[in-house]
Order: sequence, then structure tokens, then C-alpha cells
Amino acid sequence: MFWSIALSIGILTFPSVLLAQEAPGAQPAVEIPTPSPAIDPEPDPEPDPSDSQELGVLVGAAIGGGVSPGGMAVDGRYLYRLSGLDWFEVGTSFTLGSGDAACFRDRQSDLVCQHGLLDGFGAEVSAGLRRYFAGQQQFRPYARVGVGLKLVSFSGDELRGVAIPVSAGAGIRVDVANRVLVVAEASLRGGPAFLNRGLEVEPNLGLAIGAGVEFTLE
Amino acid sequence: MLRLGACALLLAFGLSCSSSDVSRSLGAQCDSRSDCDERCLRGEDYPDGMCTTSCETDRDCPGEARCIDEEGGVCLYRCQERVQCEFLGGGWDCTEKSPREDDVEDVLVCFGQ
Repeated sequence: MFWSIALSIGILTFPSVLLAQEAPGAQPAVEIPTPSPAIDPEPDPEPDPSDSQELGVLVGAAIGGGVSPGGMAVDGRYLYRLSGLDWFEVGTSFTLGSGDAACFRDRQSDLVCQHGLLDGFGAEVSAGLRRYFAGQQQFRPYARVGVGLKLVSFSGDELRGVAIPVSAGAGIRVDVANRVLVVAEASLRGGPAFLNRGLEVEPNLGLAIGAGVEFTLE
Repeated sequence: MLRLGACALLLAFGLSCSSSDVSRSLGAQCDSRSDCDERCLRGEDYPDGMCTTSCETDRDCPGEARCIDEEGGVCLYRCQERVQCEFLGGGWDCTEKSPREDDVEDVLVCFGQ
């Protein structure tokens, strides 16, 4: 796409450059026909410098289980436009679930944790990319991928650790007012979690769904 | 490898790959009450400690455990022979005990040797 735009700009400006290099008042020896510009059937929306940043907040639910926290999810994010379709996003998210104990030692003295889907606490910082797809009117679907660093805690079991989840998700954005967007999103997370109490490395998996509002910054 | 992956997925969502009936309410090893949902039985009658649940009848017990007239009424694993108690580790035997409920015949449960 970038090369298509660059080529169009080059074709359009090249005759002007030639004309500018001739002596003042001189007539061009050969009249150069003005080429018609190449038309891109679906040009990227031109980035507007005035709306290249957004702030958003989402509220929803995260489903965990085992040693993956689940519960109410609150997510804050900052987005920066990289191109017409792609945005860079950084965010923090908190998962607030029950603190009930669910770990025990089996008869071989190995620790087993069987937390419910809505247990535990998580705090994550993440960074990723969001790409928009063609939508209809004010509706625009998008996909996102990211990687994060997440603190995991199950207070009832004194179980703590750090996870490195990779996330992938999809959502839809709706323009509802000037500089106000409503979003709904679902994402899957997965990665290793490094935990205390001898559990060492365990899988950290989860599903999050949420909805919220994003604001275009002035 | 496929089974490991499936187990990892199950474990992560709070499900178990193990066929063991051990849990915080019955059977887990313990040193104190905080290791269990309700009670931790310690001593030579309960080698390595055992989480259990207080009961008055068998219906108060998880699974097919029996309510035994020990420690004020506790749930213990039922058995018919010693080999059925081996999953608890060394020091356990299949022993005849009095049930908590009146008018019920003695039952066999896993108990310390």
C-alpha cells in the first residue's frame, strides 16, 4: 500500500519537478502529458495527526482456573496510530477474583492447585498491535496480538508468581459520538507462569471478554 | 505429547487429569487445618496427616467415604482390603471401625496401622 501511494505521488509530482528545473519563461520543448493518477480501489484512510492517539477502558470478565486467575477484569489502554490500519497499544489490566484456597498436597506430597474459573488476582502490563479491517458505516472490526508481564496471586494459598502471557483477540469498534468509541472485545491468553511453593512452571491460560469506551485524544 | 498438552489445558482451567479422589475435603496430606477445607487429622492413626470432613452420617461425606465414630465423627475412605488403601501411602491399613450412625454394622475403612 505504501509503495502504491509513493508511486502515485511520484508520478504526479515528477512533471512539476521537471518544469521547475527549466529556465524562467522558457517554453518546454516537448509538452509532457499529465498522467492520470493511479487509483487505489480501497485506499488506506489517511492518518490524521489530530487523532493518532486514544485512551480506553474496558470492563468484563476473565476466565481462569488451575493457577490462572479469573474474575472481574478491568483494562486500561493507550493506543498510538502507526498507519491507517495499524495501532500500537500498551495497557494494564487487573483480574479480581475470589481468594479462596484451592491447593492441597496429594498423597505423594506434590502440590495440586484446582482453583475455580473466577479465583485469584492478576495484574498485567502488556504491549501489542491492533489492526482494523473494513467495516460497515461506523462499525469496524479489529484483531489484536500482544505480550505481557503478569503478576499472579492466590492469597488463600499464599501462591504467587509471574506469568508471561501472549494474547490474541478480536473486537469491534463503534463510533458513537465525536471522538468517542464503544468497543467490545474477546481475547485468549496463554503462556508460562513461574510460581512459588515448588510449582515452578505451570501453564497460564485464560479467556477474557469485555466492553468499554475509547476516546480519541485532541 | 498430546496428552500432556490436553492435561495442561485441563489443569489450567481447574480440571484434573488425575483419577485420584484426594482433595482438600478428603484425603490430602496436611500439617494443619489451613491445608484443608475443614479438618486435619494428625497422629499415628493418620500417617502423613489427612484432610477430612466432620460428619454425622455417610451423606455428609464426599464420594463413597464412610462416617466413622472417631474424633467426633469423621469421613474416611471405605475399603474391602488393604491394597485399596495403598494410594494413601505407607502405614495405612483396611480396618474395621464403628460407624457414627447408630444401628449400623461396623464398616471397613482406611486407617493407620
